[in-house]
Amino acid sequence: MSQGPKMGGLAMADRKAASPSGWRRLLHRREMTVVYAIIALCIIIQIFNRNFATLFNFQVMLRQIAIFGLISLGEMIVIITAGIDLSVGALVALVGVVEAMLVSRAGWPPLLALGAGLATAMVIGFYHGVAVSKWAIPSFIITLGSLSIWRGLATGVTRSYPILIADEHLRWVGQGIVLGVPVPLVILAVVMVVVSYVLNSTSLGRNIYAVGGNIEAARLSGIPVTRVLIAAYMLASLLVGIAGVIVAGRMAQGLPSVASGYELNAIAAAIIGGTSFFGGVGTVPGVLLGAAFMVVIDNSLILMDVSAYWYTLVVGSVIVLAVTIDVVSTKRRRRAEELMGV
Amino acid sequence: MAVDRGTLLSVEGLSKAFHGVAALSDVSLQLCGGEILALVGENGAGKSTLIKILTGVYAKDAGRILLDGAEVAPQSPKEAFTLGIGVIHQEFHLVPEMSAAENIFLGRQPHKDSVLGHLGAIDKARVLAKSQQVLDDLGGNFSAATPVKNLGVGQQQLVEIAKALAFDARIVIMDEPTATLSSTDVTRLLDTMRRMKARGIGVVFITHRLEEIFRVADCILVLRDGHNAGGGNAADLTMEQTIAMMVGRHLDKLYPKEPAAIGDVVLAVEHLSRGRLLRDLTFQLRRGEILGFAGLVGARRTELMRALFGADGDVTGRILIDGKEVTITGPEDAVRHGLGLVPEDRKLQGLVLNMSIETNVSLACLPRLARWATFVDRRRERALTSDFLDHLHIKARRPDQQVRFLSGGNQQKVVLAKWLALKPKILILDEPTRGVDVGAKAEIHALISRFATQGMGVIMVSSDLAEILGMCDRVLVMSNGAITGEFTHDEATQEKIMARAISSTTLMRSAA
Amino acid sequence: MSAPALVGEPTVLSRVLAARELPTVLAIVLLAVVIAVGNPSFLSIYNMQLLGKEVGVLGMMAIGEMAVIITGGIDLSAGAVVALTSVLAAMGLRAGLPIGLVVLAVVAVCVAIGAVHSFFINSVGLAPFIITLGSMSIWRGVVLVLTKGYPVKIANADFLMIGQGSLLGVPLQFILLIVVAGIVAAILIATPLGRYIYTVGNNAVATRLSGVRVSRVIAFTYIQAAVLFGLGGLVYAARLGQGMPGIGNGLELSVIAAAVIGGTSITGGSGTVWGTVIGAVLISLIMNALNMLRVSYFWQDFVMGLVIVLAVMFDLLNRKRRVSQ
Repeated sequence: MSQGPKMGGLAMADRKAASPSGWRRLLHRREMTVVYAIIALCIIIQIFNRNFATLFNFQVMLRQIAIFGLISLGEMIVIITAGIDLSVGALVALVGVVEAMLVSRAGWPPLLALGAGLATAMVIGFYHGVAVSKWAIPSFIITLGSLSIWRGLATGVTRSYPILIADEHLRWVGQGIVLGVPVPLVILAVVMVVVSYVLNSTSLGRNIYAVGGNIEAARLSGIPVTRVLIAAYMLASLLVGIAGVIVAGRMAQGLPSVASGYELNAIAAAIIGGTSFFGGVGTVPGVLLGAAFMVVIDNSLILMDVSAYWYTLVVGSVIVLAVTIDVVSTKRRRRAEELMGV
Repeated sequence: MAVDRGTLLSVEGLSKAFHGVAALSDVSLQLCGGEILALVGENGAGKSTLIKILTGVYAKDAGRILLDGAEVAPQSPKEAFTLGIGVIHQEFHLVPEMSAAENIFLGRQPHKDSVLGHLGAIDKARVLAKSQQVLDDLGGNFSAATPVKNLGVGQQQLVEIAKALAFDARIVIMDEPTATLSSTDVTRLLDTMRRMKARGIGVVFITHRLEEIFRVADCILVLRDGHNAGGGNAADLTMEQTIAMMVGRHLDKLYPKEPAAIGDVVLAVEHLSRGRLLRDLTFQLRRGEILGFAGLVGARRTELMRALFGADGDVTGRILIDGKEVTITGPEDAVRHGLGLVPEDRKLQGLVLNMSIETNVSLACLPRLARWATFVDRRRERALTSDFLDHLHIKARRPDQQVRFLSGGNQQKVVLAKWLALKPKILILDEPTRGVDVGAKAEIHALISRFATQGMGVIMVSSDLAEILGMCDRVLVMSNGAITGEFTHDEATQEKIMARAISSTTLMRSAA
Repeated sequence: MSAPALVGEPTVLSRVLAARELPTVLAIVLLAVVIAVGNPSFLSIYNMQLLGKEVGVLGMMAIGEMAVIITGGIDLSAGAVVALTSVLAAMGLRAGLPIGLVVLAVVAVCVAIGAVHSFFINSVGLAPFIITLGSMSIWRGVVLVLTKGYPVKIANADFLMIGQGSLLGVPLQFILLIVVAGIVAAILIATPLGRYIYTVGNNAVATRLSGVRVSRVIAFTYIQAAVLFGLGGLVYAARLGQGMPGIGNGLELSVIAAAVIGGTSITGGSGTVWGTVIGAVLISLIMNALNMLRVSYFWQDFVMGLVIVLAVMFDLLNRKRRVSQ
């Protein structure tokens, strides 16, 4: 799927390069659009339903943002490598089920059960990474299969029954409050900082962008492409696993049917937040804003008394629209470059 | 030459052959530190093979490479780089969304001296400072933090050069660096090269733009047909002498060109343009005529042929066939109007390698082989293929054999068969005998000659000057997307063609 | 001593042994034996008819998917289109429209869907999987909005015959499969369009440069896929007696799995109708096995996912081995 871009410059050859602060300004512009959209949407909803701007509603939305945000960040990492992960929702369910089974049925200590859940996620990430990089299986087909395998595994093992989590520590992960802030949000904040740092300031992070942005250039520079891809998929799955643990804690059960369709949400959030399907582009704050946007839309449908059934339709349309914009603008740029003789 | 500069790179007796065909024979080269050596030669002279051996992409068959007097044999590009040999290719390998600084240090980021550093934290300050320093030394006028996609072509090239220099390359090889640059950028690049020279770096500069060479090079080395063909100090040589060395081969091969009756104008192209790639091209082609297109790298001959065939968009200008203007928006229109194209890259663009000879031969004319326009008549298809296998002497075991098992020459014949099945008015051949063995070459030339005698208008793009001189009634020379010369068969010589091919002065042409 | 006409001319036996479908056929036979031993009612007429119905529908849709995959694309909208058409048909019948009109309308809707897919792929340049992924979401959403989640009952007895009737003991759905298979096979083997489908899948650039309108070829594949999915939806509606917004969940996976098992390479360029039908048989058999052997139906998804991943891996490994020979 990777479409490594041809190289070349924009406009006139004599064009003065934009200064770094100007570049940051450009980025701000993209993200600001999403912020404006969110604000506009909030105002519209408030007009229709006074209950929107309540503390309770905001708390509900914030918790949702925490969960969706984590999943979207995971999806973002995969899309940056010019791949896709269609199985994130299924993984959330599986991780919750694994944790619940270990702690409730097998009597494991809660911390170990949580660790096992996360480890499951990372093993799955490893498998995806190997399939994509070593076996050259297109990411969409391997994760399409995964979608069924993980959810099927969770459903088969539990016979579709939720497994109660009685342990208060695990519940605290999803329901607790620290200094007035819900734990999931704290986790999200920590993850955002760490992931941001890794992606922007470490070799691994920069190599992930390089592999997605121009795999040939990455290879020629001696970057171990296979290892980078596997690490990227593992990191992405870890983030999804964390979301899975939070969801299980919040619902106090491992539920095999949870998070159905979350993958679409995550993809939409990532693309709205500026992640490009061609790979090599994507920022943490952008994706978070995208996730916030999707949560507000979901919330708005409920509060404006629009049937919740519109949600699937809306998400699908958002994806098609966002990707179209991404593809069309990239193609336009490449066409201009080609005509310049580069 | 300065007395205190030692010989940095010495190549002696280098030879390399592919499948028994010699690409390099006993080639030698000397490069001193702080010296700019221009490596010139036609397409196929062996320049890129030489470079690939020096940078570890190919392994040499014979000869020695000495770096500072010690023998080396790089086995991979990475090893060559560690030895201090850097190469700047024509196609850039940059990540567009990343800054210049990040691209320069791609895959080699220095880490901080802390615990975090051991986990992979990049010392960004050092990356930025060092890359800015290298860029400034090269004469760059931009910040190293700029994303590469916001840089002009010339600036991006500087980033590529900086990639090599940031890691103390002592030899920098530049492969046709000016092919896509504007004249301002070219001046800047030559200035950069002088700066590199001042720092003791040995520069090998491959180009066909001789004017540039004489502005900046210290020495010149000419390759021709895989051999050393001359060279010396740039100060002691003239352009004419250099051209003579590039093409001065003895033309003793006879080409099987039969005289053909040249008829009316079948194709007229007026003011054809495509962005900056093709600039205001005007020419005509007559029935029975073989029109050659000569030129060097970056001349855009293939782009012209694709534009004629409707393979690319954004084309302006007029195309007239048999006097009537036609609109060609895609290859299907071109085919409908009687054009055929044998592409430069036959394996990727001319043939469906995994499928049979039959399928490939009938690919363009399939609807005509169909009864009631719906069902393909397999017997007719088989007969058509057998006919071509016979008449074109295509050596294959059976008609349903997969094309990928055929030799280069036979594969090319299959592509020709595909178009012959349509009996086109105009056949465009892009490097028709590249990668084809000697025997098949002669056969293909005979075929091309026969096409012309049967009234077809033939356009032949070729980098083989002997072929152009031997086969074409007229020759148009292209450079940088424009026509820079025109010669009849009797007027044309290798030197004249080459002189026009390296020139950037467009020939003024009328549409008459 | 008489030598064969051409050295290396394959004999019938060697052709059979080399057939790509051989492993799948063997797997089918093996699986059938295992099931029959585990639960003899597997061989009952009732079960055979049930199997025939499943194979009929799945096979028909897998054939649609196959043509798309051969050209190097993918269509993830199978399940959503099935849900949409089943609901639309049910609603149309409930409104009293004649069956013929309903079928025609459904086909028209499917043609439009296929056209939209190919528009985004050809003109806008979106990757097939993302447009059909978004599309899948949109049609499911439309269905949910139309039905508010409730199934739409069908009372029209003639229509229900499609789902439950049979000819000489062979379910109508299976006969439909045979008809569709025949038509598509004829197109693929004998017409220029069919030939182009393969050449586009093997080398789209060379095909285009030979004067073939590649975008039309691709448009055809997506349209015929959508139509076949839509027919599948009609059959499901007839079988279940209602249009259900929730059906077909995960169907896209089974459809792709059937095609891949049947020898269609996920990267494009190869695939046969016959192979796809066999693939559909194997998939249906696996589903049937899970029921017959009383494996909890909760494991169905898991098995399906595993099957497709194994099939793709096996196919890619095979291809690598064949190229290196």
